[in-house]
Formats: sequence, C-alpha cells, structure tokens
Amino acid sequence: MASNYKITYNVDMVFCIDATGSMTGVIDMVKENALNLYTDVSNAMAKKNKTIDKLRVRVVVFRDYVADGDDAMLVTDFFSLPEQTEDFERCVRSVQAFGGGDDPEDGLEALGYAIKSKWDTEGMKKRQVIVVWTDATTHELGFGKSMPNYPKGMAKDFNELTAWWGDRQNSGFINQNAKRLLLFAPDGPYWNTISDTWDNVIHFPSIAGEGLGEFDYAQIIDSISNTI
Amino acid sequence: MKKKESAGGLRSKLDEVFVVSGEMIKDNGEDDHYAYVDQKFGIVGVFDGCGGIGSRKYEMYENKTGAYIASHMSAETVEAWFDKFCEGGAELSGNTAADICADLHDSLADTLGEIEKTSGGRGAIKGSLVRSFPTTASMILFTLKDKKVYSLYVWAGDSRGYILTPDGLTQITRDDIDAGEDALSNLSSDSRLTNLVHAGGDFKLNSKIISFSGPAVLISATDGCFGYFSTPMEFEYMLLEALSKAKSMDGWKKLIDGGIREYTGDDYTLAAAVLGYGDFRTFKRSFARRRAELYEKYISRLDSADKEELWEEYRAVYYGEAR
Repeated sequence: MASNYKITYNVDMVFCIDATGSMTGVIDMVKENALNLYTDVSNAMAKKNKTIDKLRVRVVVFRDYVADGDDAMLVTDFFSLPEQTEDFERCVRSVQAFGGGDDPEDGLEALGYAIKSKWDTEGMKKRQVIVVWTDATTHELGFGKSMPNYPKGMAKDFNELTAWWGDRQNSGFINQNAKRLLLFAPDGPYWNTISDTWDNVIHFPSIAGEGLGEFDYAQIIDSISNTI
Repeated sequence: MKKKESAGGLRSKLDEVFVVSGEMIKDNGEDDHYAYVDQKFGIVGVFDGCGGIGSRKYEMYENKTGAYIASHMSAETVEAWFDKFCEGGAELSGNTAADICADLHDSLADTLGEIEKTSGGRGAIKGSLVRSFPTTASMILFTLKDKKVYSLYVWAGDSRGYILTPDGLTQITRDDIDAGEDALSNLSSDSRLTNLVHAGGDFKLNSKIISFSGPAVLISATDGCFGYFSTPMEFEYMLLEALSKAKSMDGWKKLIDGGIREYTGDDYTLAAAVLGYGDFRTFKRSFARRRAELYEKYISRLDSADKEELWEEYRAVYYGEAR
C-alpha cells in the first residue's frame, strides 16, 4: 500500500452573529455556542477516530447599515485554532447586543461576506461551514446601500447572492462539495427561501427570545462532525 | 449473517456467504446488513445510515439517531421482503428487475414513512441537507438458472456492489453523487449524495442485472470499507492480499476485517457471496495471478507514479469496460 498515507481534514467555519438589541437575551448563549463549537466538534470527531488537521474560524458580526453606521458590520480574518484560541475568544466575548433599528437586519450582507471568505483549498477532505445566528428576518440586499460604509462589491440582489453560493450547475465562491450552511434563524424572509432553495442547508427555525435548546445544539454538532 | 442450509439449487454453486463489519462507536454503528441464502435465491445487502443529515435522535428509539434507525429498519424490511419474495415463486430476470425494484422501493418507503409518522413527524429542522431517516443501500439478489448465476444489483447512495473474479474487481453500481466524480476523485472531493433511501419516499432504487457462468465473489460494501484508501486499487489489493495470507474462508474474513480497520475512519460493512469455486484452495489459487499483477502494475508504483495515470489504466477493469 502507499506509505505514509493519511486522510487530512481541513475545516473552515464562519460564524455570522446578529448583535442587534433584540438579541440581548440570547447573545451570551450564542457566544458560548460559538466558543464551544471547536471543542465540541473536535470531541465528536475524536469519538470516531478522526482528527481535524487544520481548523480556522472567522467571525462576522452584523446589525443594520441604516441604523448602526460603522457598527453595522464587523468582520474578522480567520483565526487558526487552537493556536489563536485566545484571540478568537477575546473577539467573540467582545460582541455586545445593541442597535438594529427596525426588525429586519442585514443578515444577507453578512452571508455575502461569509461566502466570499478566503477558504482553505488544501487538505484531502474539506468542510467550509457557515453558521448564522439571528432572531430577525432580513432586509433585501442593498437596503442600506445609500449609507457611506455600505460595502462595494456586495451582491446586488438575492439572485446574485444565490449565484455566489452556487449550485450543481454553477459553482459559486465556496467549494460545492465542502460547503454547509447552518441557519439558526426565523422561518421568514429570506431565511426560508434559502432553506427551501439553496443546497447543503440545515435550518433550525428560531423564535425571538428563545434560545437554542440543548437537543438541537447536539444535533448541530453531530451534523457537522458526521459530514466531515 | 443468516444462511439457510439446503441441498441442491443455489447451494450447489454457493461456497460461502459472510459479513465483515465494525463500528466506530460501540452499539451506535450506523451500518447494518442483511445476507441470506434460500434454496433458490440469495441476497447480500448493506445499509449505511447517513449521520450528517440524519443526526436527530429519537427518544422512543432508545435515543438512537435517524441514521441508525434508518439503516437497521431498512435491513429488517429487506429481510421481510426477501422472505415474501422467496415464498412467492418469483423469478429473477431482465423482465422482472423493474418490478422487484419497485416492490423493494415501496417496502422501504412504507417502513421509513411509518416510523416517521409514529416518531413525531419531521420535526422543526428543515433545509435541503435534512432528510428524515436517511440511509444508503446496496443489495445484490442472485439466483442460479441454466448453470448461470443471475445477479440483480439494487442500490441508492454511495454504498457499492462489486463482482470480484480472477480478472479483477469491478464496481457494478454507480454512486449517486454529483456528476463528474469517479471512484478516485470522490475519495478526496467527498461529493454529496444526490439520492438515498429516506422516509420522504422520493428516492430512486437504481438497478443493473448481470449474469455469468464462471466463479465469482459478489460484494456489497458501505463506504467505510473502500472510502479511506488513497486509490480504488488499494481496496482490491487489500481483499486479495488478505486472501493470499488466509488459510480458510474464515481466515480471509478476519484478514479483510483487519485490512479495513487499519485504514477506515467510519463504520464499515462488507457482505459477500462466494460462488462456484468448490474449495478454499482452488478459490485462493484462482486469485494468485491477479494479486501479483495488481501489485506489479499499481501497488508497487503508488509512491512513485502519478495516481491519476495509474487510475486511468486500472479503471477499464474497475468499471467493467475491459470485461
């Protein structure tokens, strides 16, 4: 047999966290989930004799471009774990819930940032996982484009964002086989459209003010680790 | 493994039916199998519950996952179906293959659909990646007629059905994964399943019927058996290397188990029917030339040659194009 052969697992995760005022009751739980995810997924994989060779995590904190100005979107580079655990923890723990204005938020822009991440292309088996935590529906893409800090080059509408995600015919900005999107979001616009029409999506419909139950969190961990 | 003793008929051609299996987490393995030989028909089937998309746990089923329940209930369903099939005086031929598949499909869909209903429905979780009680399936139904073996391969997902002869290992099934991937590229691209058995019922059971007169081994295997080698030829080589070292059929089985366990990172199940060799020495001797050829042409060159080039050469036999 081929000598020194070993399958390597490289995993990238992007956490999109809604940090508007309505998330006040659940933001600590979301932060804990984000912080525990690496350990919990690693432990779940270890039970199956698998080791993640390279894991990177990136954070996208989103609010509302019209209501929140410079606080509307905070985006980090990837943190390599476990080497940059302290930096990652400091970043997540600094997230505070405030602002947001009206009920829909700019979650689609956050998703746009996440999809266009500089994904790891190395490793035999790859997973590129985006997790969205929000208790709100989303504005249409470009709702806040009149604001000076609205990003240039953002998908101009939902159809373009859908193309960024890609499908079996046209690959987008994320590896077609490696991609997974976990939505912890209300069953309303546009999250339900994404859940119904995009591939590789798991949607845990949330209700404002109610946390992510232990049962569902365990299922998220299993879903991620079992597909790696 | 269940094997009914009977004289004559298919038994006159059958040397052995066996199953090799292992689980990553004790008592929570998401693979299952059904292997049985009746007077007229035999079956070797494997089922691999899909943990990534069927990870919901069900309290009423001892907190097992949907994936676990799906593979185990599918195996039980196929067992019940096979009993009825054998009792019903059915025939296995090109003319009956479509009806057999339709019947199997309905049995699996009914069972999983009923489990979904009684376990509280699909739950709140939705999305294209979520399936209720999902499992792959690879089943080979076989019979002896006019001194020929007729085998019907039925499958959904990426569990595979093979035939192993002294000419080599041929994958009869085609994985239900995105187009453009083959057995080599899928080892690293880990492509998504485009079809699998699940409670929703909107799945397809693929089928292919082949007949042969010479000795052969029919193999159903879950991806834990073959998906962790760096090339498809190493899976065949593992089978033949194990055979070359074995002193009995039971020894072969144990060596296959060790060969898979050394590489795999998943639950694994391999069900095989050995047909037409008569005795173990003849069986073992028949594959000596192929093992040597495989080593010389491919295995000994894996570290120095381009894997893609080796695969291009190997795939003609592997996909049956050279047969």
